Amino acid sequence: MKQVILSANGLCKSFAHNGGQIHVLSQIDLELYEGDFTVVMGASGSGKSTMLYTLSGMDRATAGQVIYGGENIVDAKEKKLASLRHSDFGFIFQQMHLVSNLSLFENIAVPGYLNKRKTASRVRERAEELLEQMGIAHLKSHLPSQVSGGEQQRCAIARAVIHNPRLLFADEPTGALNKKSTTEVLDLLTSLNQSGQSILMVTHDIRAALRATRLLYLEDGKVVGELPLPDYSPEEEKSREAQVNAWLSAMEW
Amino acid sequence: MEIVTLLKANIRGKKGSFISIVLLMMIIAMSLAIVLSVKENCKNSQKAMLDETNIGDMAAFIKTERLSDALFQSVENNPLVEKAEHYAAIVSDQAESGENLDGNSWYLTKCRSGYQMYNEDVTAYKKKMPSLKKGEIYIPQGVSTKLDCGKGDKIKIFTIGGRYEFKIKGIFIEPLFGSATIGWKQLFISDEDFEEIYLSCKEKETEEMSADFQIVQVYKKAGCTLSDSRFRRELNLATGITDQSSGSMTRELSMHYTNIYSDIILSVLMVFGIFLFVIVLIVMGHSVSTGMEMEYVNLGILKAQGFTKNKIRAVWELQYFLAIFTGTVAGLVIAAPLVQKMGNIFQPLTGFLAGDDISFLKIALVVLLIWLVSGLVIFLITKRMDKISPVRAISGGHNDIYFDSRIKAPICQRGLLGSLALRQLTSCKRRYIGTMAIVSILVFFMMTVTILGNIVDSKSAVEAMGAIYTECDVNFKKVPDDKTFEAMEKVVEKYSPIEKSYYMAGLYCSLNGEEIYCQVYKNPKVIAAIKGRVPLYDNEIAITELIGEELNLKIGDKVIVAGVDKKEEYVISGIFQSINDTGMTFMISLDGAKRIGIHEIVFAGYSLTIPAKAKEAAKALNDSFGDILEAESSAGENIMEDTYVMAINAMKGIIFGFSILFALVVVSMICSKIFLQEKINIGIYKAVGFNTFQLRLQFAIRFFMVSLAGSAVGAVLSLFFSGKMLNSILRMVGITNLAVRYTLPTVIVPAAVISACFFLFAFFVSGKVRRVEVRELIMME
Repeated sequence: MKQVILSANGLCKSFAHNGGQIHVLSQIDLELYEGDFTVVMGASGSGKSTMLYTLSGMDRATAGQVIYGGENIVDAKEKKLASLRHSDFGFIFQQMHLVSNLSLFENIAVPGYLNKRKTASRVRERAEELLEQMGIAHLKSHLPSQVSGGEQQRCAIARAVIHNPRLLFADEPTGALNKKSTTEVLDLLTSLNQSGQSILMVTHDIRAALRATRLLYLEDGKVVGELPLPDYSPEEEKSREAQVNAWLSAMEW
Repeated sequence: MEIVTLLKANIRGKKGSFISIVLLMMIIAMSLAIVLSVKENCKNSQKAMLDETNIGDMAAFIKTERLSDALFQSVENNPLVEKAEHYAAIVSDQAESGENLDGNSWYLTKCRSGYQMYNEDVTAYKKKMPSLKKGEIYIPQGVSTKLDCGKGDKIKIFTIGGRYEFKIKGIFIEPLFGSATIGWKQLFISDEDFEEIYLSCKEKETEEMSADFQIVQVYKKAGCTLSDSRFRRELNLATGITDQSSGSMTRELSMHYTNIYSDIILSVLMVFGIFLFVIVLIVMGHSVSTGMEMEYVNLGILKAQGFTKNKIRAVWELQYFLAIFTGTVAGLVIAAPLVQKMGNIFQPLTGFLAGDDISFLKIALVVLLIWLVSGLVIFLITKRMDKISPVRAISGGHNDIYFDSRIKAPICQRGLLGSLALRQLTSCKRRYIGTMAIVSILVFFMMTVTILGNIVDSKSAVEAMGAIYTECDVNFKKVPDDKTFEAMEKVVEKYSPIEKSYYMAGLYCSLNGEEIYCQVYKNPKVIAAIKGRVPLYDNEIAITELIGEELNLKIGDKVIVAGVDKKEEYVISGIFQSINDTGMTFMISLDGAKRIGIHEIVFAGYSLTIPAKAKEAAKALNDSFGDILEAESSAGENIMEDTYVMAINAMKGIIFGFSILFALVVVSMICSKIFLQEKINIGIYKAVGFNTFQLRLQFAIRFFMVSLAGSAVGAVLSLFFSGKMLNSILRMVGITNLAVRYTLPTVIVPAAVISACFFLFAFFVSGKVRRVEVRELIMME
């Protein structure tokens, strides 16, 4: 029985627009489990990214609850949310969003330094390990503008996991990458997941969806479909792709 | 029409920058307009009163016995002279009101017609002065300021005939000697009192001491084009009138002395205003360049739509010029009602109510210059817009590119925010250079004005200006001899060792025909020479730099010095500095002075190792030598009058206040721009776990670092230029070689004030960080 890390109850998110309200998320009930690689798919405007940011506390829900560690984080204070971000959650963005005047090494280490329980030397060691693991150790002193998009995204992944988060949120992490870099990044995420990292990823990319152990389909702000999958293995990619395609067709994607 | 539409949109979108520039220009225009108008009004008020009272172009104080009929007639008949008149005066060398005492030459005369007086609350003039009864006195403003007394107060006047107490009936407008900056004073008493005091003085008169004086008023012939000082010199060479007098004053000199402090303060403020304008230009430059960076894509789009580079530039130029224009006009409108109020700040010093006239011509010229320079700067800065390529702009814009900095401090866990702030600075130095320049200008001025403030209230600084600071001062009633000096020192030394002492006389002598204040020292070595040496032999004198420039004299030159009866040749042995007579003075030893018939020492002063003992020492001197001298203690008092201290502190307040105000506007403007430029980074930092407080603190630390660096530059600038700037301004009071002394507070206080302001203001302005949501990172893409 998998342990629930984070759950949403009746989660709603609306935006004011022209005097009215646009309901992006409507009454979402969801549980995310330890060790899962959960991938959310859906058409543009279905509310995927909004759900990811509302669940992670980066955006405030209009109604409902997001329970993490037994607490509803929807109403949590900014300090509490900041603390969750540098200790329990990790984030990967489509546009990488590395700090442009910090080297790759520093981009990875800075969030680690925020965790006062870890010494600076331990953070530096861990950053070096991650640079090695991501295959960008030779670029550690480079600025983001001096490396490729794929290398930037690998740095962003390392940054997101420097503090060993319980849950990694990824918003279209391969959206801005070429085919080769996409595969490298997905391999890294898969490897992280297979070593125990829980991931919630939003994507349009079917290749990314194949890495999931659980697929969710979002439509008009509601979770309308779910497909559990076994752990990813490259050998089974063809059959997995057929299964996912069929499911997506059923979802009218 | 399209230009107007874009202009409106630009102003709407950049309200902050627009308002900031309007505000800054408003402050500058307001202060320059006030300074220019007040400066002119102060002088005009005195000039108008001199004309209305029909005062002569020159006045001389001369002992009655020396004003022979022949001398007076020679003055009257001089071809340069329209008319001359003289009237009797009784000289007093000390006056007291309450606890305040002032020792100088005060001339009591019968009430004269033609003068005006202040109303009850000193806010307007009254044409008619009621006649005086016995025991009543009219005093000029300078006396009221120096002795801190007013209508209804009692004032004691000390003459050789005795002490007389009067009740002040009012303050009259004495346009020639009425200011607090001139030592001589004319006071009006009733005819009855005058006769009584005159007789009493006559009874006690000796060969050495006489109170019987005449005030001679001389009027230039109509059409005489000579300057007042030239007129006085020519008249003296022809008649010897100033050689025979104890002192004389011309209208021009009086205008100079009367407005000396207002001139200094207004000059400093004027220079400060000009530098504030430089700051506005820097701020504007920063605003245009960051605006261009941020609007790069939009500018490209406009170009792609067919807007010419000239049209786009015109929109930006108009936008900034409109802000400057609005600010200037608003500043002038606000200045108008403040001109009189600000001018009247100087009333206790000058003795005149400043008018409320606006110096339209001067202001118009300054405003035109401001507009011209601003227009040129905007034109040059916006020139870079010409290079924006529409293709490059639309296909990705002009993103920030950070380069490796040579000053790459590591990011460390301890002091994480500080090291991140430093990285932000070093990786994008250009953004902060303008801010640093602004801080350095502000700190330079704050330090300069602090140095000026220190001069007012520091013993060492006063001595650096050539004055002797003493805690125990003595006025001799009778001429003392050398033995008396020794005996006096023994009495003083019972209470405290003497650090420095002087014995001197001050009187007006002619130097190459010019009437100049002469300082006679028994021990000239007590004064330090700037060049050469002080006069040690009886054929030597030392002059000030100003005298050297005025009379074209240098060390080694031979000059003729005339006393009352004799003339002798002397050699200039050195240059010294003095604030007496605003630097128009020379110095001679007592032995040298004896050659031209000057034998008496009139003042003495002691600087004590234990200043607290000064009161007791003064009392002991009075007890032991009461018949020949009067001693008083000045320990613990301000070196200069409270009024000057107040005026200088007011200027300090204005400069510190404006600096803080500028810091606020500059920080909020620059911070807002940088905030917009760094919005994505702020979002990233939030996403990786930084909270709002930490990010705001990082922002504030960064500006604190910039302000510290700027303060360091400001301190270096001050080291090199404060002295030069103050010297050029303080020449008015005779200081040509100011020894600028830096104390720790001189450097620390301005730097700390400005850095603290930058830190706090940056922290407050960065409150916007709260509003940056991480989801904006996604929405921006």
